[in-house]
Amino acid sequence: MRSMARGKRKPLAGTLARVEGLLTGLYGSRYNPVHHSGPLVSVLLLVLLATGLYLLLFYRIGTPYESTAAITNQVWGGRWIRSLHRFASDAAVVAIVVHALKMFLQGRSWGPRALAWVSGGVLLFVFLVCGWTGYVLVWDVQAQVLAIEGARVLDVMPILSEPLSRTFVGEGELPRAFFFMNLFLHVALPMALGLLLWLHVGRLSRPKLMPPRSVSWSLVGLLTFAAIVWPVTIAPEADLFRLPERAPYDFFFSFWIPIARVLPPAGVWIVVGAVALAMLLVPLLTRPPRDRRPLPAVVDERLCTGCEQCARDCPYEAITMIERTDGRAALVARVDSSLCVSCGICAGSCAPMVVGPPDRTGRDQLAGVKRFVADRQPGPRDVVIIGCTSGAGGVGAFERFNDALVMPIRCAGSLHTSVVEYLVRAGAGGVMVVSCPAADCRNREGAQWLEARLFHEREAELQARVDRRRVRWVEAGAGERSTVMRGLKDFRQSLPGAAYPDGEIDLLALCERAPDEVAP
Amino acid sequence: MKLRLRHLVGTLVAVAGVFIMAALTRVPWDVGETHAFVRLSWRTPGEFVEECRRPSAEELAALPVHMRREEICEGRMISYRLRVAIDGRAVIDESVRAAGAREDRPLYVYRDLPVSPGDHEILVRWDPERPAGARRVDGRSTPGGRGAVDGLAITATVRLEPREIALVTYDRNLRRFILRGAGT
Repeated sequence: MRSMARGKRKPLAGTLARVEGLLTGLYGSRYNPVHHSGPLVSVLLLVLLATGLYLLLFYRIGTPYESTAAITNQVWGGRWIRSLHRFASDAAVVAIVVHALKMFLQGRSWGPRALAWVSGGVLLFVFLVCGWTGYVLVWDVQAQVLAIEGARVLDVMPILSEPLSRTFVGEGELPRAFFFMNLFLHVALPMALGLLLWLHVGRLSRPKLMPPRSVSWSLVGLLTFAAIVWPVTIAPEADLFRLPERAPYDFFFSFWIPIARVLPPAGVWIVVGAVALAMLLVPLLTRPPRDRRPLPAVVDERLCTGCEQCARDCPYEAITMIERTDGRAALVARVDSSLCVSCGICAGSCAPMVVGPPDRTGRDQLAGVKRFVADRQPGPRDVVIIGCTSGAGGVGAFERFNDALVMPIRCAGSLHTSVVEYLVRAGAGGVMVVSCPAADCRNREGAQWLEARLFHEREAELQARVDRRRVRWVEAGAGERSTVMRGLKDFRQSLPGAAYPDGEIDLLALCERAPDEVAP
Repeated sequence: MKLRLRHLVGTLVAVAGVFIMAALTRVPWDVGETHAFVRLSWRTPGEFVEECRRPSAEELAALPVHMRREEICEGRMISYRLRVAIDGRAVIDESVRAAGAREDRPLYVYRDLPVSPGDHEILVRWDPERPAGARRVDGRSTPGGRGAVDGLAITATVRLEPREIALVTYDRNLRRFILRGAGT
């Protein structure tokens, strides 16, 4: 079952990568909306809050339909604000689903990320319920269909003393309490959303809650434009003694209606239960087999200098600095394996190369590049591509790409800059590091830290002695091979003629020495 | 030029995406219902009855002295029989039990009976299924009205258009069935 889940993910992941590549072509990786699908939900929640507060001023639970009609037709800007409220809620559903799909297809839903996955699923469910209450508040024919079907489904729950459906049979006026309860839920559930959002990002350092400002404003502008040009109208009022012939149907919030109408209520609950169970099982089903599961990072405490850079750079708050117990003054890094996703970013951030997942620490990387140089012998005319296997246009899977030698790495953010220096000093004409786009790094901040280490002297920086003209950083998502090709072409054209002379390289000299190593 | 074209295409794609989403929020949906409906919906208080018997001398002897009684009574809420006929044809004949895990709640009925549009004669009966020899305990009817109902019936003719609903319900002030809604 697990292998089936993984097998079916691959082609879908390829499709997603191609779509992302197309959107990057149109908007650039920084403004690609799919890269910001998660943070966009926050923007949309803010829009919903602002527009919802305005609508709340004019809504009356005693006259739900009449007051909504007045908002739509009489209140200044009411029609547009109501439309914006609805479009923002629909866009939020789209953004949540795209975000969840992306996490699922990229295998970012298991291990320490399981909490984010499950809380995200609950968040979507609560959001859909919140939308249901919002639609019912209008009390038009669409609300009638949603209310009746919803009540029919809820009535099989053994917690209700009286069938909820009887509220809508027309025995009497619909009680105000019904609309009060709906309004209360419609206002209270977003607070639950806030709590869930906090839980959702609780395991992240520096959670990115907002996309770039231009992306946020573009989205709000587009939705406002649609609200003005094509505002929503109000359907005929609900009539409990007549079923509507036609009703408007919101695909994003009413998708379950056709299923609910053909299935008995218990069947609907079985479907809901099956979907919920599948969502809960995703972290288990997408988890790699034990022998292929990446191991959490470890620290060689003997050599750790206590510089704290790994704790600063870890995007998952998996590293803390604690007091040493061996009498030395400095702190020492400690990895919480239950939080570590084995991204390896700490390996790139550690100047003395003493932290990182087993076989992927800076020292392991140096040993690897030494083997690479011995095997492939890059010359002054060669460019070596260090390609992230998660993205980088998929070039990480090749041995050569457009006559360049390829050295794959699991996450470019985990690359130790000494590897780049080693390659340059070993005589390679140039080193091109291809990472995922910074806005779409699978390990959140890998590309960002990599760029800072290569060109902005962030700790574990590429040494000043390395000719920067021979080093290039290119961002490319999994579906952006052409970006790699263009980047490679540009790089080749800009490369200076002379390379470093070949010669023996002192591996140890490439890493900052830990105090124990310096001591006699 | 190429960049401008890309921006233009990007803007068009974004606008198209938002308008497709806006269209999906109001898909005209044919509810697909051509029937009319006779709806039965009411809540009536149930009737509490006791069935008593005299214990045998052996039974009495087995009980502690303070628990010996002349009569042992067991009480329960009785069920009601719902019978519905439309145009002379019986469509429902079933027993309805009081709600709740201990069957101590009122009795609820909620049914939608599809009928073809046009004139229909409806007969609804609601009768207690009191066991022979059981004794009604008036002070213990369930909540939901002023005491248990003895038996209710209604006969009516309705004229219904497609998707219209005629409602048969219980008026607890009049203590009888009434007909409401379309075609009445």
